[in-house]
Amino acid sequence: VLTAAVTYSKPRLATFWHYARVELVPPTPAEIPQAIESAKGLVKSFQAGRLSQITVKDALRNGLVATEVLLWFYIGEIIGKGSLIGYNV
Amino acid sequence: MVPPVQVSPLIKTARWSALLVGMIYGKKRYDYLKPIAEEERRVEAEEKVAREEAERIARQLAEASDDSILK
Repeated sequence: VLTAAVTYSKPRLATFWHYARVELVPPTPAEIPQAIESAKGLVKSFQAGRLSQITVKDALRNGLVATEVLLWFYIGEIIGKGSLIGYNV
Repeated sequence: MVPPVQVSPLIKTARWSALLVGMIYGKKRYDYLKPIAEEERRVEAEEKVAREEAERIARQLAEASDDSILK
């Protein structure tokens, strides 16, 4: 059963790595100032009143991305507390 | 297969910093909750001993005072 599981998961693991190597990589130190820049740009555009001009589709997409970022916080909490459901005190 | 998309740096930093903050928060909260739970367990054990003593006495009194003929 173990060899069957390995042969099943190898190609899927390969596709996961194929995407993760580009998409899930932590930001290089060169990209962090870029990130701060785009965050500032976001704040400025909201101050300029662009909030009334976003399409619903764009708003939904940004909402999904924001939800995914918050999701990583909860994954970090699971890792930090050392158990999947609830704190094992 | 669709080629992998270039994620914007803002989203990348946000994701990984959220992961880090989550890990720190989980660890800190665990360390805060652990002694509280141990204290509660200790208090519960003490009260359990006291309660069982009281129950034992009550049971003995009840046995001594009921009107059964099976003694």
